[in-house]
Amino acid sequence: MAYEWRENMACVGTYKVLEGSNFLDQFEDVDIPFNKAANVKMGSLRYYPRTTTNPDIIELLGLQIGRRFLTLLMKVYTVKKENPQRTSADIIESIAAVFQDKDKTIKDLAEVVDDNIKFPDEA
Amino acid sequence: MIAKSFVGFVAASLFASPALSQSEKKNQVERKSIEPVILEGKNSTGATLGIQWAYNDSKKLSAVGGDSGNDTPNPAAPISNISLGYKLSGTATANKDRNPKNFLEAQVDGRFVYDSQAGAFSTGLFGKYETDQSLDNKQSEVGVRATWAKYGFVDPKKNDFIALHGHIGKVDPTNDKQRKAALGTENPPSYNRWDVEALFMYPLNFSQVNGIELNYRYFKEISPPAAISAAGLDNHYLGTVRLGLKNDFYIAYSSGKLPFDRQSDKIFEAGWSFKLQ
Repeated sequence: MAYEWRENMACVGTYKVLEGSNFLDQFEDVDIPFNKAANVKMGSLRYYPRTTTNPDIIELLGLQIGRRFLTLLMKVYTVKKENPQRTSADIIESIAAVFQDKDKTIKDLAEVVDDNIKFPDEA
Repeated sequence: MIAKSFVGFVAASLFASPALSQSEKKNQVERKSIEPVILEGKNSTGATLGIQWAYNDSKKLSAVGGDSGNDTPNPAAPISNISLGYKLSGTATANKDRNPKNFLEAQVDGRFVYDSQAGAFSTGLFGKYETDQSLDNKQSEVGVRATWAKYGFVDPKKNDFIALHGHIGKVDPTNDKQRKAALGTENPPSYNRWDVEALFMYPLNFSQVNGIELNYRYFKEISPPAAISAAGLDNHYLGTVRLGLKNDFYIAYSSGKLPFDRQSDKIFEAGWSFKLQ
């Protein structure tokens, strides 16, 4: 079943970290409000380079911003791993894979976050 | 012609399976495909039926460290792994003289990636071999590359990004008309070249400007023939400055040009580029 963009902590947290001017500041909330953010492609966000298609650079960019994303997400919520057997490196790489793919969407990112991170609103 | 199309349609119906198998497991990505194709033969020799196939596999050989068993994710956890990928692909036809594509393309790519809060680094070595179905025309290529990058280079809270990339490899000039003309031959030999790329992105919080992006690429042939140097084909550069505006509009300026084999990487024309409305 397709992942649903809704007002749970995974989606709201993903949106907050991407949008917040003190966080990744990838867009303004007046331009992309929460209810219109789901299908926004990663390639249209500010972090994605427009002057190169070098896959080696984009791979490292994804890893670095993925790591930063997780750091900031943990400042918004107190979270745990969804599966304690997964390493933090695996989780960062999963998040990075979304940032590396310009055709993935913000909803795809929230889905990966939800799959890997257990939020306080999850029993 | 109708008969050939019909045979092709029947064959395609029977065998069409563009992705016979696709599996993505932890640390491993594997893809296989095989499909019938109708190809226009070399030198207008007519259409021919063939099989096109591909097999990709990449595997993470080792991952250092890990906090498996801990409940809390650690965003400072370093990533360090070695991976090996290979790709085999090709096209076979009933009549080898009519096959316009490579009979076999084999590529091996070994790489090391390290990522931490201090920055990220990757280096890799790749080898490529290709041949036509007659096995008369073969070509091999070996290259090495390295990349370093850091998010938050100027200020960890600024969301700026810097990357440096270097590559050394062999270039196949088969379709390079300028090189053929400079050397006066229809079959110029392959040559070695190094290239570097630098990228810097910095966010700007002005009312109409989101950020600035700078990209510079330089290509230099190793030990070029005198005729290539005289023609100015032994080095190339391309520098681009792009101002990102609101609503994905931009103003960009590019200077220089990419070498022939990298023209497909060209994003902006030389000079000013605008997307303002």
